[in-house]
Amino acid sequence: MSTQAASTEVFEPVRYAVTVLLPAERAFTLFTEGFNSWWPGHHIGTAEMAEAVLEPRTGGRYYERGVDGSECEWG
Amino acid sequence: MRQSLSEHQRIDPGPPEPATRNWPAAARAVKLAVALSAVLVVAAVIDQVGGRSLADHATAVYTPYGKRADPNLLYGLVYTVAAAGAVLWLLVLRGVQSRGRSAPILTVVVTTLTAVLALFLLGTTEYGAQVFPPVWGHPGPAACRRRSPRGGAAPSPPGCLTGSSVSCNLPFVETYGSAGIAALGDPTRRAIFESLAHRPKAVGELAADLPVSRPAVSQHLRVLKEAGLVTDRADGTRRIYQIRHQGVQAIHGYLDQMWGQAMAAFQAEARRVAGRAPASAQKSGNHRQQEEL
Repeated sequence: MSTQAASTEVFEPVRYAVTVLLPAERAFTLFTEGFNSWWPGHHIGTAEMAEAVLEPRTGGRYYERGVDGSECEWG
Repeated sequence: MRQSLSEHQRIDPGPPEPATRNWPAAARAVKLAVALSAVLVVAAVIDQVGGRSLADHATAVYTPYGKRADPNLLYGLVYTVAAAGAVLWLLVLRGVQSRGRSAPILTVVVTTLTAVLALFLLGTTEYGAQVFPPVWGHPGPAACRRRSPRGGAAPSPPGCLTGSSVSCNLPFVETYGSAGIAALGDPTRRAIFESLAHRPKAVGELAADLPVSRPAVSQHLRVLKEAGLVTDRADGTRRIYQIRHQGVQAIHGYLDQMWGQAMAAFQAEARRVAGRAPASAQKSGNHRQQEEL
């Protein structure tokens, strides 16, 4: 029983809300198109990250490009 | 730099039995004990000033639970124990050098005290992890060797995070959460982990569900176990694997911290952008934009 309980433990999703002094549209644009201007640089590739790419279309890819040209999917 | 507390503990009982009359040898052994206490102080100073592996380790242990580790307290404890050891052994040295009657008794008392102190440090655990691990130092190289790819394990996308690359490439990130994420960088390992999230399973069951051989599943399970994401227990001749709650919690804490930093950075950049164009910011004073993730 206890093993069942341990494996079905639910974690709250990581959720953040910040308030910024920008119109919603501009805030969204900054978040998406301006991603590289504010992202603190967390990356998962073995190479240093050159940039993160958010393809602005439905079904678009979301990945990082390393300084050596390698690509790593983010989601 | 590696410093072993257990070594300290093992060597300290070096002084001879009370029956021994070999005073010069006894004096040498006691001097060695004093020197080892001094080495502990020096090692702690070097770690505090340089690598901070002890502080990083504590941060990794505490962060997932929303607690902050106090490096000053940690290093202070080590200094106190080392200084106490040095003072006590210097006392013994004086006794041995004057060949006093009390020297053998003092030696036994101090040996016991030292052993108790060492055991106290080694036995201090918080949230199931040792606060003072026996071997300090950067776990990277050892971990990299241990997790190096072996035959049978499914390949990961080139250039992306793998179990073997994380501790080599991200040595300064909190090791627990990021090691867990790195272990899940491999698609097969992720599939195994997700399968175990439904219920605990044996190796054979996992291999039956996945297009991977049994040895490969075992290999992946070992990596997941090393990353603290699964635990196993014996059930007759089988080993049952299950998700380790603390491992998932560590990843959760890591992601939470990462997004906290990211959102603070986003807010700062938005403030900068708004400041650069005060007119539009003024106009949009009532707009509130929330980014939820």
